[in-house]
Amino acid sequence: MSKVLEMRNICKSFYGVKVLKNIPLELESGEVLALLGENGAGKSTLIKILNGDYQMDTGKILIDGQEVDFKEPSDSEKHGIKMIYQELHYAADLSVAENLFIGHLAKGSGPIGKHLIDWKKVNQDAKKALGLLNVDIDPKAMMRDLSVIERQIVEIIKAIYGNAKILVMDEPTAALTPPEVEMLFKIVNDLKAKGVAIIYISHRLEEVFHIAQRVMILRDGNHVATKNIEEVNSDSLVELMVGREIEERIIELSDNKATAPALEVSGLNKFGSFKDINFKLYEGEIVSIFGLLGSGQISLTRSIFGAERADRGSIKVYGHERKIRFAQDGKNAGIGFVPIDRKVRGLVLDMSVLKNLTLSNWNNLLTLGFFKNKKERAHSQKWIDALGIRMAGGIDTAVKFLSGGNQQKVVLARWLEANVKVLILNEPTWGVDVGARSDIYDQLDMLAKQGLAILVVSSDIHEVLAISHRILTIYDGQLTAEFSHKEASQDLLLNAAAGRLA
Amino acid sequence: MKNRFLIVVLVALMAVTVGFAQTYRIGFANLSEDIAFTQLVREGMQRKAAEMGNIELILADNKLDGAIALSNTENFITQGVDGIIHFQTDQAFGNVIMARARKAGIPVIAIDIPMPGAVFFGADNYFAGQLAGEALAAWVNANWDGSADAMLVLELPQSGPIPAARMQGMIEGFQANVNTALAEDSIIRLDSKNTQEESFRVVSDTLPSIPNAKKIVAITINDGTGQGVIAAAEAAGRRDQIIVVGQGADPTGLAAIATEDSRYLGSTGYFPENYGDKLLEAMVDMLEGKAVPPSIYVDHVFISKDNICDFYADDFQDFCKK
Amino acid sequence: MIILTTKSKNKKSKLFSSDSLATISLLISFIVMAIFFTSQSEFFFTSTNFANLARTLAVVGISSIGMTLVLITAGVDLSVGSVAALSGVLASMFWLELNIPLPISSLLALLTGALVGLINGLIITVLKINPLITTLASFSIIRGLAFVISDGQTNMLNNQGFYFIGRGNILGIPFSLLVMIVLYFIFFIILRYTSFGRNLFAIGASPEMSRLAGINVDKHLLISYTVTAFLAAFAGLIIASQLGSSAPRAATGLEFTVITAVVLGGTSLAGGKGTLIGTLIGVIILRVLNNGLVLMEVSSFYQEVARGVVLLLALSFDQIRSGFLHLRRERT
Repeated sequence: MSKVLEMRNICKSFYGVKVLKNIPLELESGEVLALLGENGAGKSTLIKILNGDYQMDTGKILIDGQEVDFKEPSDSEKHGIKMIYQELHYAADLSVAENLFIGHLAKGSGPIGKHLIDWKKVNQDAKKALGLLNVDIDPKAMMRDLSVIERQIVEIIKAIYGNAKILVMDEPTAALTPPEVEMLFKIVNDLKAKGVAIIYISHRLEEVFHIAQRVMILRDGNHVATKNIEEVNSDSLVELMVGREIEERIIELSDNKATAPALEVSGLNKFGSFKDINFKLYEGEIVSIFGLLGSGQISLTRSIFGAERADRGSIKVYGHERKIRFAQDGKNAGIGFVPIDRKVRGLVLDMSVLKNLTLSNWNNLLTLGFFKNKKERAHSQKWIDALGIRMAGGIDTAVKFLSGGNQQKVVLARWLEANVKVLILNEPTWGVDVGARSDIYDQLDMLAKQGLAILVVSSDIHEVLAISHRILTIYDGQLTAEFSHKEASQDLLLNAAAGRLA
Repeated sequence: MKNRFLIVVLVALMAVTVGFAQTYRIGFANLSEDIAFTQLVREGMQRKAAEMGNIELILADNKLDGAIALSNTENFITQGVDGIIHFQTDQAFGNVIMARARKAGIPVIAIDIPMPGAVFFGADNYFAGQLAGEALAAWVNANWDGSADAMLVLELPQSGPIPAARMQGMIEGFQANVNTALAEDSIIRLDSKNTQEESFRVVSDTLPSIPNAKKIVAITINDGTGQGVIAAAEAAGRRDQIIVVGQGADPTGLAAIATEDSRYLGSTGYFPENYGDKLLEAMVDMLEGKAVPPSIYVDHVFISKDNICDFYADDFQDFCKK
Repeated sequence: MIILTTKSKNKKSKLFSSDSLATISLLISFIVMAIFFTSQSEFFFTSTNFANLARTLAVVGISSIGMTLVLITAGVDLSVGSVAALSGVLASMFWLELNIPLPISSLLALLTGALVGLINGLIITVLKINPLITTLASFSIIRGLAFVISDGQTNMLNNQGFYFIGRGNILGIPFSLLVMIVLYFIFFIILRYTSFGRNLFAIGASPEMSRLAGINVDKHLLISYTVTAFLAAFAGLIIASQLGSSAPRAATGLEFTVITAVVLGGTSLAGGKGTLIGTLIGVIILRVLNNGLVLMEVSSFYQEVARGVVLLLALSFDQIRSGFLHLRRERT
């Protein structure tokens, strides 16, 4: 095996703050190196330097033993370095085929033809490329008309198609369902066999063990360790990442059915999305709805809150029938809702933590119609302390500078401030790192103990198993099974969620 | 000639009185400095002020905006002017402007758009229109056997009664003098929006609706609009079927008149370059307590290729040699 | 096989892409409009009127090509009217004041127009000033320069050769219309079949993605603004030729007519979306709307109202349609 990439003593500062200190990285062809670290550890800065997006202050990058100098992304691309970004950049109004080959669409032949795009060939190539992941997507379909998951698949194919020598994958599985993850791993193995070197960034440790040969861990801009996968286990990895031991979470889950049902959903229907939904959620209970993405769970929770409108059915909060047609109705009924994509639907990224905390809860803070600044600050500080929201620049920091976990806590705090009795969370730990993840689980646990009824929608089976008193499975818009914490197992859940219940 | 004589007399008078003549500060706020016509008004004003010698002219631009005219008025008052000459477009602001001036005890002359309590100076719009209409009728009588098939009226409805009076004057001047007056439904009114392009567009769109009209007369609110009509007729291949008169006799119009085989018959002159003479004389009369009529009118002349060389021989030497 | 949640959705959009659906609905509204005018005025559906429409389409039509390009890149150019005016003024001033032969004067005017676009582009790409602000400034600066250079005067351009640009015919077809058709064809090919054209869409959709895909975003923007101003300058020459004179006040409000036509044609102000066929239909609809209303002898004040209403109707129709598609997507 040969060293395809070597990064030596990479240093980088922003405004005098050192974010990378003498980082070494070596990569051999045909291996998968997992790059681990909490958010802010310097992973993405390192990757951006490799990509040519940022310029390093000092250090060297060698490709196949030759020193290179990347001034912009196209430079690194010429050396066969390809990226799969966590956040999708695509052109919604262009076709799948075009999105795949943007920047280098196939040309025809002949004196004039060689300057013109050969759409037939583009579409054929696209079909071939899509065949890599064995997916049924029409190359001529507009990106806009695809589901989130299909768009992500296109993005992944876009990066791996062509001759990638080094592939960087930044949380590629964040939005994929378990079978899709399998599929991706198969592709990764194929690429490995072809000699492609892969740098793999993920917060899901079980994936790392599944696919990586070596792991490299960063913490606070320092290189902590690079180890063969055999030398580590998940506990030691977490410890290396966080810099302290994290206790195994043992939740005491008791049967809460003796208390009053906080939320009672019966006969809820929405054509094309879900049907005949009946369940109860008790005070102080965490119930998860587990299902493959697109099984109707998102639409269901949105309808309970009022972000969408169900066709028929009833929703009772603490025994009172509520007519919920708009989000305002859900809020008035005491239901809180944390959407799937915090960045888009839950937070105003450019606003400060303070303003985000008080957003939509202005009524509590108004005195004769005026804001009371002091009161606003005191209130917000209370939540920051209670939930342990960490930020570098204090309460006036813009939310976009917070880590995913802390952003999630801001969203949580906002609903708690609004005094909700039922809280619905969609995929609460997407894009959240290990440390903050167990933190959020602890918070949910604590909130439940205080009497809040919590409904979680998650496609992360480990998460569901770890936090729920009860688990409901959903398949094709219908609830297929209910498991208590004790009964539930990975197998049972997956089968129920795939509609294969005996 | 008459003017030259007047100047000589005035200069002589000034020489006599220069020892004890009072200097007047007079504010002149122009309609807009973007328009050829009003630039000529201002230039004439400056020339006249220099000739009179005892006038200090303070200039401002109303920019076709009533609110700006009001603020110009206030500036004039602050600057301690003795009299104000206002060329402003918005009748609604007339009352306010005049109230300010009255309070400050400053006399005002309003150009073209009347303001309550101000001496009016300006075009006799109906009469000016009539002159053009009569000339057009005479041409039709001589060349088209005294009858036309259709009349295009390129008006400016958004600007109210003054342009309307011009149009009315032109229509009635034509109808009263042409051998066979046009039927009312052969008179097509179009909104020129005061621009050559818009007039080109609406006439282009209208010509297809009068395919059988071979003798078309057009009357237009100003010279540029008139050129738009001719350009549209040329583009439609109907140049010889149209004859146009306009208002203003500005350089664009004069150039069109002084062209061989022109379809622009002529244009009523307003002589903006001479506005200054009458305006400043009237203002000084007012300031010296002499009687001034409530309305002073411009001397209008219809300029056609027959008389253009009497007025503008210097500007069109080639044309006038012939 | 990966289980996809969107079983039948793609199939439906196969029949018509959302783009061609928009074009078809635009065509239908055009036909409805044409039928309406035919029923209202006996002169609408006549060869003379068609000849008239053909002669007067090019100014807005040619300017709209450039505007389509910049709107696709998520930009805008408010200076097209001013550039058109400057171009006419320059051609006449070079000719009349400097005695440069008119063909060369015209060429110089076109090049100056392109230069204005290049400067717009440089300000947008190098100084990173928003295109709306940049071209709002040049809208005012260029118009002002046209007044300064011409001293506010209208100049006659009496020259048969020059008249040919806006008034000439080849085989009975107006020269300006022929030029317009050729330009539409060329730019259709560019937008559809060249990397440059496709990259404009990518840039409009996401400059970040385009940069990552190795597209030189700045270069593309520079070219787009330069082309737009060049075409606007050409439109200015057509105006001057048709009117037989150049005026600094010419083409006032042209930018808004052009933006209206382009947006009507389905190009998104948000960028990344648009077709030249749509633009062409948008241009024709606006022109026919004006023509029909004049023929119906509708008061000019109501004509203004009608233009605005048509724009709103067309766009809300589009919005409702895409909103419906969006609703279907929300399910997943």
